[in-house]
Amino acid sequence: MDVWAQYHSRHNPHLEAARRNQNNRHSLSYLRCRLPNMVGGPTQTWCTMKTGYYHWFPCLPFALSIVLCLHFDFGTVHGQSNLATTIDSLMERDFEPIIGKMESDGPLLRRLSLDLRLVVPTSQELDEFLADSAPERWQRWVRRFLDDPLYRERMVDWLDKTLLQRRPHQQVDRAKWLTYLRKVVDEQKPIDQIAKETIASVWWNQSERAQQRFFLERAGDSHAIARDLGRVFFGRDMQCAQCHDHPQVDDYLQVDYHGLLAYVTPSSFAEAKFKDDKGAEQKVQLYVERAARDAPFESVFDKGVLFRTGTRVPGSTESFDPFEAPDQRYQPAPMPESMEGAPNPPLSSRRSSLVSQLTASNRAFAENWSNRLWAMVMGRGLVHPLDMHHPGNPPTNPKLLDALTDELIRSGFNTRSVIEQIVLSDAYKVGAQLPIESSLRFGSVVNLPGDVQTQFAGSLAARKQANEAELVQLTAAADSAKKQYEDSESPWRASQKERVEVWAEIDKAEAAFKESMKKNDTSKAAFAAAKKLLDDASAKQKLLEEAAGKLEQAKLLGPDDAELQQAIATAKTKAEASKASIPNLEKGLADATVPRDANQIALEAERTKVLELAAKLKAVEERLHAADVQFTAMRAQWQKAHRDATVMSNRIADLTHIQTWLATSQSVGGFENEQALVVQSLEQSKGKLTQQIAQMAVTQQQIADSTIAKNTVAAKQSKALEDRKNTVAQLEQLRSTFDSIDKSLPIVQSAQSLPADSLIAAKQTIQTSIDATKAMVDGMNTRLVAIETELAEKSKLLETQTGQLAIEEQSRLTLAQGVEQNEKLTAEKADAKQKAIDACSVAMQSVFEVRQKSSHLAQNRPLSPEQLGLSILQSTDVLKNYIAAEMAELEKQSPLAADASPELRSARTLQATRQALDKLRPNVDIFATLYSSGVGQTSDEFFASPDQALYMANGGSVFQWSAPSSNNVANQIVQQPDSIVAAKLLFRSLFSREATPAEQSWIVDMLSKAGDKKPAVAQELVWSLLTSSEYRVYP
Amino acid sequence: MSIAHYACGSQDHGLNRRRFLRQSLSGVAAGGAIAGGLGTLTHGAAADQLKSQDMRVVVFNMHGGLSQLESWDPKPGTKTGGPCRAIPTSVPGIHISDLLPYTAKQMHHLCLMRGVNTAEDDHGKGAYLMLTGRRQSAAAEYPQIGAVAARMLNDESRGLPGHIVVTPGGGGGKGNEAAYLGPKYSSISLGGSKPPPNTTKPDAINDEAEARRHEMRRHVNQEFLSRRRTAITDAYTHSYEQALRLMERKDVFDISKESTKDQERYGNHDFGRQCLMARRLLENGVSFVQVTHSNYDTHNENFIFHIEQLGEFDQSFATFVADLADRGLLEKTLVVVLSEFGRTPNINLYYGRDHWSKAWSVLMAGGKMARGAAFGKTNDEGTEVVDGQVDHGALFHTYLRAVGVDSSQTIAVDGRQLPIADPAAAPVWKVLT
Repeated sequence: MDVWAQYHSRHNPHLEAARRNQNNRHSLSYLRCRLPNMVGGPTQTWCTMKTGYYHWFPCLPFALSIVLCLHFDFGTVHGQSNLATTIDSLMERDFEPIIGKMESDGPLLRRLSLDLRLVVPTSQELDEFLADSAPERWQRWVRRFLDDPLYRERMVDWLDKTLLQRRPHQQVDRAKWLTYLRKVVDEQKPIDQIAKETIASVWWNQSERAQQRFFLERAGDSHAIARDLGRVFFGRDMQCAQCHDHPQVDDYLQVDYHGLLAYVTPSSFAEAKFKDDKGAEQKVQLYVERAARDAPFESVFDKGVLFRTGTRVPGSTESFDPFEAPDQRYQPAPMPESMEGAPNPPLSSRRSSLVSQLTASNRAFAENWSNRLWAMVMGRGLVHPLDMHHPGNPPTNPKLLDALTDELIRSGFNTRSVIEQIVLSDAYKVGAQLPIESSLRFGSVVNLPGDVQTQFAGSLAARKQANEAELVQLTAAADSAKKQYEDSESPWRASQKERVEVWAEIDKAEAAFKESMKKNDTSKAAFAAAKKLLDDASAKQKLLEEAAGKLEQAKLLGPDDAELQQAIATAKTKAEASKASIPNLEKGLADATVPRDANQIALEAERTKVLELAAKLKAVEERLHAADVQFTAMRAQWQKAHRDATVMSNRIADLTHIQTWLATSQSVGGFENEQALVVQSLEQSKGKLTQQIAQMAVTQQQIADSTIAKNTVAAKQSKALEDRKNTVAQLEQLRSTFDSIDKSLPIVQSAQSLPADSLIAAKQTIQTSIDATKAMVDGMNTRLVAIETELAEKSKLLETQTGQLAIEEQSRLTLAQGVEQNEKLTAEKADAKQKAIDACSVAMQSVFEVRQKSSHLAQNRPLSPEQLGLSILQSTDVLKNYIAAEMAELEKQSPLAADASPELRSARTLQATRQALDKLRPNVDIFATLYSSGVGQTSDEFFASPDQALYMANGGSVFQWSAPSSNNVANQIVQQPDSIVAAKLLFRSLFSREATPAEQSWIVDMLSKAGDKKPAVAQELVWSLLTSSEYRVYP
Repeated sequence: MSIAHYACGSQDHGLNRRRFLRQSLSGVAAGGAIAGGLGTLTHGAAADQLKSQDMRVVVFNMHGGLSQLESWDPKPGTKTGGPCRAIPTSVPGIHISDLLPYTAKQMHHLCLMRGVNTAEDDHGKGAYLMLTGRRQSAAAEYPQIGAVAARMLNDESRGLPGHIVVTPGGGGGKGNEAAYLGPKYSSISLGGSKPPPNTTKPDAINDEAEARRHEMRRHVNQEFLSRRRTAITDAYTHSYEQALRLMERKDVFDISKESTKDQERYGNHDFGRQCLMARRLLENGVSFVQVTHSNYDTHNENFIFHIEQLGEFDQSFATFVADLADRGLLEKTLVVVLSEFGRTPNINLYYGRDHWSKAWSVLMAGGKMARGAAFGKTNDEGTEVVDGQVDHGALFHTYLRAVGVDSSQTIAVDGRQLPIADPAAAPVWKVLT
């Protein structure tokens, strides 16, 4: 049977069920057709997988899956219909044993809820989800969460962090900012629109102040803003290209950085005044824009070579400002509702010109956002870090990034629709665990059949070989593109130089113009003053004459009046005096007219010069632009070629990691076998040794026995010797007696007085005794000889046995050495195996990384600080209670009619949710302070520190929230008489999953021991789950 | 030997927990490496080696700008010298100001850097460049020496924070000095002999319940980690154990535990107590302590202020140095006495000296620093460096080298390789042993 089929059947219940299905034959042939495809390259796609791997039997007939597999190019259909399908079609389903297991049920819902609402699901939601058996369940729940008020807050949170990177509220207060973001989200403003609003808005009063926070909270610092324009809007952190081309990233040029900087160099902070609600004067910093003026810059590595650039966004050519004479650059009048201190805006605004670049036609801009959206829900960008887009750090899946970007553009930069499509894809559901993980024992794929391993290794090698061949071509293409790119640089640099020179002239001419303008202003003022004097004098004369006339008329009417007469005379005199001063004043005016006219002419001459230079500049700029177009085109070509080559070499590196893992896992297997052999021979040698020792024990016993026997004989011998000795002594005694008798007998006989017969008889008797004793001695001697023989035999036996023992000891030593050697060998093998396991483990780690990078495995993601804080509030019902309280309050203020529309009702829920969140914000802020990376960091890097744990343990709130109250989970546990039910509830509520049997019995045990402390124990249990690692990370 | 086997899910490996945790934690620090292991593991070994050397740093920040002429580089009898004299020190040939008689006796432990030129006369920017080794720029933030020391030197297994700023008043807050190294290495500020916040369990929980809830937490974790184990989960689990250890070691932050005699020797004033606290913390293995002495910004009455300020500084500081030397800690501890800048040779109308960064002095001691040395020289009136000129970049490299850290290395943060010290600068090798 096909090895993959074997493998699948072991790991896929669908397949197992299907095996019993009549389509079985088809499926197997289908499986067989897949391996060669894998070798062929990335034609094996997720979609075929969807129909083929998990659902192929129930879903589609075999023929269709073949069609999908072989003949349908999904790359061409993306952007038109269903992005989710496109995503899945573009996920390469190669090397299935190392693709994450699809998540389902609780963990999947938890992930979705965290991604779309920042909080974990409630246990009621989980129950509903599990009970929902509709085929479109997933679509329904995605929609449901997208319509949840918390989805909007999720987007507010995302926009806030993306645009402001946790900067403190120094210029715009938080309420105002939140109001703005909420409005933007409520209106479903497209992300390009938001970007545009951020860059260009009314700055001369406070009407659009919130949306200027991007600039304001960066204190209006041009470099800080230029860096973040690159990071936030184009996904390029070009900070290191400020003083020279980026040292590590060959695509970040100093001119790119300065091109972005040019958008904001004319802008700066300026203080303005306004009256607050109470009429008190307040000061505020405005981020004002002035007329553009670029300063030359140079590379610190190439001092003296001056550059000058206007505005330029990544991927585009430089754009040039319209040139106006220096006195024609600002709006002639203040803008409506301008604040005191706000200057008139320039006629040509670079911020507006940046806005015109933030469109679909700028691929860098659009890719930045599609990558950010992907990262938001997948936990990692296709390009990662999110602000390091460059050919040396290409997307892990370029086609996928293209598809996402196309769809984002097609949808009109609608974030919601793109997010929806991503979470609808199967790619989103891939889990963090591998299907083979249960069979993994430190990297050794023991459960993968040997022939599967072989095929796996074979397809890896084939793929790698193919890729390497491709890489050779791609590298050649990149090299040639690089050459063209470099060639196109010199004309561009030459024009750059020309431009710097013209600008130097313009600088000079403008200085002269300004000087002349100053003179002109002075002489204009002098003329005006002279004219005023003259006009005043004429007017005075006229008025006095008229007054005199009127007085004359008055005089005619009255009686004669001396005083009146006097007044007439005075008026006349004064009129004369004024009249008399006029010629002088006229001269003065004439004198002022000459320089005025001269200066005006001079100014116009200077203007002409400036404008002539401007025309010259324009010509240079045209040449520069032509060179720039070529340069940019060649650069784009190189970028693409470079990117493709990098993608390929990254792929090869990834394959190498997989190969290393496979090889190391095989070597672990090899060591396992070798170790088994060594252990076997160790056991054998140990057995022999034991045997030998047993044998020696036998011999030793024999020796002991023989020794005893010998000793017995020896004892017998000594006894016999003793006996003989005694008998011999007896014999001697007898002989001596006999001799005495014998000696006495002649005397007795000669004496004859004594009876000799008895003596003879005695002699006879003794003789008999002597004979008997002698015979005894002889017998004894014979016996002793026998004993000696026996003793000699015994001794010999003992000697033989001792000799044997010595021989046996010799072989025991040999055997023991053998055992020792085998033991050493075993230790060596164990060590080698351990090393192989370590190597395999490291390699496995790399495989995990490789697969996470390409989204074939879910990221190990911690919850963001906000997700953690809000989820804890959710899990403990605090959030729910706050929302309910706000609802009640709103209801009290303005009760909803019974027939209120659903729209009205959901608006009410939204409002209540927001008010509740605003009240709870200080609590969430603590999490942000403790768990987030610092201000201005691009993302929240995970870190764990004791102060976080100290807060969770002793800070008060979390433990308090865990206490039983109203209907929260702790209280439900307290009230629940059945501890198993309580255990299930606890794990569903806090971990969105079922408690394992072990966990259930643990809870049962804890609760049974609790006695009257049940509320306390319930609280501690809730707390312990909230502070566990499982709660801290994505499922 | 064994290595962390994330995600492999097996228990049958004897895992050297302590070693493993260090590896994984340094991995956390390595930022981008958290998602993956290779970098983590290789880095862990190097960091381990360094941490085993057990080096520390203490910085005395002479806030406001200490006058070099009234301290380390006196010019008596010249137009700029002012009324103070120079006195001999324990090192023949080296003289310092007569305002520092106790410190003079410790000169054989110290190394004067008399040729400092930082070209920055603004308080904020001067402090920034002295503590980060780089000039401040709006477009980038760099970590301070304290954060770098905590990152490179702190042995987490001691259960104490690695970066502590001792303040006379209340503490508790968390600074933002770590920049891209991450808030983990930001300072914990300690004041008034109080332990860091939240180190006391809530009153409502008795000992039994406290033990029980942590036991529950461990149990829950164990279940999970047997299924899924990553650098993240390990670091997170471990942080709770660290927290408990910190709670146990609260006494480390209580200088009333020091003998009355020592409290007297250090002086019954804020600065004396801060020095004693610094000693206590360093002895307990905290990798970085910063003590601030304020205020030296003497635009008016420079001499009277320096007599007062240094009168307080001298005895406590000299006692501190002598104690460190006696206890064998000076070998392992770099001591830096720095300011944001020095003060003008010119004496102004108000008998003051103004900001002056062109030719001033910094004092260093301990670790691998040369002992009893004076490096660099200013001219007779102290208006210019004539020999051994160094700037903040060179000093920063030297701080690191003095505690055995390779200052030319980069660390990976979120996929970027960032040099820990300004690559354009180099250490002052001549003062390093």
